[in-house]
Amino acid sequence: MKNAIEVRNLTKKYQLFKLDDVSFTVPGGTIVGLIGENGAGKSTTLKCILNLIHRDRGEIALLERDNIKEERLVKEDIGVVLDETGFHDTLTADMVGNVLSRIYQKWDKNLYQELLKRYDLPRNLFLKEFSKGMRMKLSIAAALAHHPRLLILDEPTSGLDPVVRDEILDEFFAFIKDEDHAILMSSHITTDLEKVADSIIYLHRGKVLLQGEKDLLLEQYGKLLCSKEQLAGVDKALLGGVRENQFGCEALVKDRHELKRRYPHLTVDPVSLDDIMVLTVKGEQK
Amino acid sequence: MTGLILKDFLVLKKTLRYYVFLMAVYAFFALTGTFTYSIISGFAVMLGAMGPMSAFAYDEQARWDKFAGASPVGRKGVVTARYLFALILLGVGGVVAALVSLGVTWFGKAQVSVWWEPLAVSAAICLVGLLLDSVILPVIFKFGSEKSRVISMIIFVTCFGGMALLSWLTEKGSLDLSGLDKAVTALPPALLLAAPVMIAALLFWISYHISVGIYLKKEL
Repeated sequence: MKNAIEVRNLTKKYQLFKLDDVSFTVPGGTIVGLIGENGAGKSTTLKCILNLIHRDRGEIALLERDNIKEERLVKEDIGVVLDETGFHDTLTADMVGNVLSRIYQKWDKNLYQELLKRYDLPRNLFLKEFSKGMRMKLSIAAALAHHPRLLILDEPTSGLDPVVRDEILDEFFAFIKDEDHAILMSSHITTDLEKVADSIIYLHRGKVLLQGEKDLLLEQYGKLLCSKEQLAGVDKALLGGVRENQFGCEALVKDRHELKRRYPHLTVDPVSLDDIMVLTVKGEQK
Repeated sequence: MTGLILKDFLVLKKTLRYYVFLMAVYAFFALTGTFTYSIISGFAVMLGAMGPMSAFAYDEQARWDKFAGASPVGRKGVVTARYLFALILLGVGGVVAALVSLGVTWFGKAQVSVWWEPLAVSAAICLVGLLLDSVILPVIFKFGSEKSRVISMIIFVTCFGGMALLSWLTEKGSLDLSGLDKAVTALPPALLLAAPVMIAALLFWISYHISVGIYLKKEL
């Protein structure tokens, strides 16, 4: 499998928001992180991919099949974790398994039981008694138990404590060991993506602002800390967003090696995904 | 799709248990002659109409629609499963009502002109349930369970209020339906029996397709 997901020119217009000509790929054997501020279009993109909402324009291929024409077939191979679990409080984990075994043809009852055991989830306790972390683990168990090739995850680690988050991220690492598997994961917790993602797509106001291999992006981008006078002397083409405060300026540097070469007296720090997002948005607000 | 029907039964287990208990109580009173047997048939309608409505409410609360939409059952499968669930509830309610009605007649607790009259009453009331589902289900698929409560209430009040008004006006003599009565009774008995069933089935089928159309367009 070359690409697990291919999104081309995806456009979806609402009254106050437009997902505008979004294109990206999720290659097989990789974890791709979708980042962006609230309302940037992450959930809209995932919903379009899953055909939960209707796109206005564009094409989407999942596992090399059209996501609408071959929807039922392709969804047999997709595991989904949405920000809300989707399972009723009055069900137990065993009941959920019973229901899903009649929905997914490749449902593996033994694997499901094994995952429940591994995640330390009670089989016969009603879900209303589950904590948020337990519910999320149940969603992940349910998403994995039909042997999917592609996982689509909307904020799978939000609201979870660091221990549970770490366990869940380990599970994603294990899943991706198979070259035929892939994960597309949206998250606000960019440190999680820094840990697991191979590539990053940064959505901003409905557009892809940035995409590429995570390590390359973090290597290429930087954060310039300097005075207003020093900033005035820097070529603006090298800079992204700028944030000014009473102590000086912070600027996102698009090519830190080039900036360092041209301005050796300036200090450029390594950047995090959070920095990229914050400086871009703050710079724009300014 | 059977998974979705199973899910509805599991989620509504408590509610359905409550209905079964109430039916058992009313069946007892009907068999002892305290209540008329037609009350049990009324339960069949309530089961068929209220069951799917409750299922919608629970689904919305759990945000199940998105999960189901992302699964291989697809939107059409979701609609089909809900209509089958309504049919199963109406069928089970109808059969129980018919059995109790027959029991009531058997024990001589009801005055009937022919032995199968209670069966006909149960079947007729089930058809009313089918009609109610035909109207309510597309409304809920379109507007969701919360908004549909008001719309459903208006439909219920209009239907039953209208029938009660007609009955009252006829009894009072302000409305003469004898012509219609004669015309209907003049029809061949086979047609008289088959026509309501066919009309209800046709409306249910049309309603199903309307719901599929609505749900296919819906943003989940």
